[in-house]
Amino acid sequence: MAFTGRSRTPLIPAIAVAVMALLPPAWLGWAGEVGAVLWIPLQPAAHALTEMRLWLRPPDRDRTEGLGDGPRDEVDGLRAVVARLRLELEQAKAEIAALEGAARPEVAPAPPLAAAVVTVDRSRIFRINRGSRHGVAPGDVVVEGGGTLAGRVAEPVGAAWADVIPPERGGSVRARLFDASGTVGELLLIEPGSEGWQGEVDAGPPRTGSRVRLDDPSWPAAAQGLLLGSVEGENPVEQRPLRTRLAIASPLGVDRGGTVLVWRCGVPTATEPEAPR
Amino acid sequence: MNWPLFAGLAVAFTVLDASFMQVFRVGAAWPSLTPALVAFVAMWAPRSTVLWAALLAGLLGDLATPIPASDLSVIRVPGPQALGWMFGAAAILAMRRSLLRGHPAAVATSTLALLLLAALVWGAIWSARGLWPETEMPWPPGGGLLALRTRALDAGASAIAALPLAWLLARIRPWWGFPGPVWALPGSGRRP
Repeated sequence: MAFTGRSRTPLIPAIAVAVMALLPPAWLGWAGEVGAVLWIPLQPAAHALTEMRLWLRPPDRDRTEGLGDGPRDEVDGLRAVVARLRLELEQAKAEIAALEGAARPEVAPAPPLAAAVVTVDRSRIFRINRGSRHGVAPGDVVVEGGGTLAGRVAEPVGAAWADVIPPERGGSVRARLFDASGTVGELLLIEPGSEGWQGEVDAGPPRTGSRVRLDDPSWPAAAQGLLLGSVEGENPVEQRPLRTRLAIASPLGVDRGGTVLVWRCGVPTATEPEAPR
Repeated sequence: MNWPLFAGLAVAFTVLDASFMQVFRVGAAWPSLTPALVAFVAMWAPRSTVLWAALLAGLLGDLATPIPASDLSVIRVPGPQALGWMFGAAAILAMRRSLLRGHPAAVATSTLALLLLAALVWGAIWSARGLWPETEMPWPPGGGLLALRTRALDAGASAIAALPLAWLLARIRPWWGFPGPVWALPGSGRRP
């Protein structure tokens, strides 16, 4: 009997696990299903513990809260821009569909859906308590604190849960830098480990405190313009005196908040055309 | 060994690790309880039982840990943690006779050793997985050492968290059904 003290070392199971550990990603879908099934009975306890954790140690709030009303006005203005661009995008999609002679299925805009963060993994992927039963689909945009990008819903989506991949796990994103006067420039953000976002811009006036917003065509239109963070530090780039490296602090950090909003994009991002630049 | 007790605690600690232990996070260091449970079992249980316990508890953790497979999907990879903990538990088995097993500090030290060794196995398995072109590594390009450093910090935090947990687990040692005299409780020194 394998589970008794007199049994042999679990060599064969260990070899089997080693083989599984080296399988290509495409062959590991079953592991996600098994993990999801195992997690079902544990979800209520995980939810309660998350609530307790958030009560004991509330998540770090926006580090730029003290900046005054200027940034909030900026947020409102950018939301209006986002809304206008979304409308233009929908119109353009309808025109393309008409030109191609294809009947485009009508996708009713769905209202945002509030969801609670159930667990947060070390890899910063977090799970919410809403799933396909509530209309959540892969590619939906998840927002925290009103206008901060928290991530994108990943595949697979369960009936009552979904995993969300934060933007920093994507390797790099394109973003736009804003200060009180408006757009300062574009930059490519990379995340070298746990040090936060970093990006390079042309050397110029101090940018500390400027806000960084998503402007990446690989993300859904609904996510464009959402806040990624604010500039926390500036350092010269070695051997390139005309460039400055910016350190971007995310207002979210590892402590994801207790509640997020899911912006249901209507169709999975995988089939959605690129957003206009 | 009392397997239902181990299974219940392993599941409970896995949920706590995923949902609650973040409350004790200091900087990048994030403690876990399940490795301390494995280290405690590795102090007292027979060899094969220890290896099975480490394998199963690690597998549970692997299946609870999503890894990004692309921008839009996550997978769970069974193995990196399970094999790492098994390797770490084997190391504890090799050194447990020289430890004051009943002392919480011994469990804490073993937890540290288990997680540091497991981090090496984890890194090796993921490096091997990197040979698949579609694999997305759990660390950014060039960030492997940084990921190991984070794991080492986690190991230190988990070792500290293991101190009170080991004391609590030792209180219920008679329930575990480990072979050997029951009087070998905390403070009694080495087991004969």
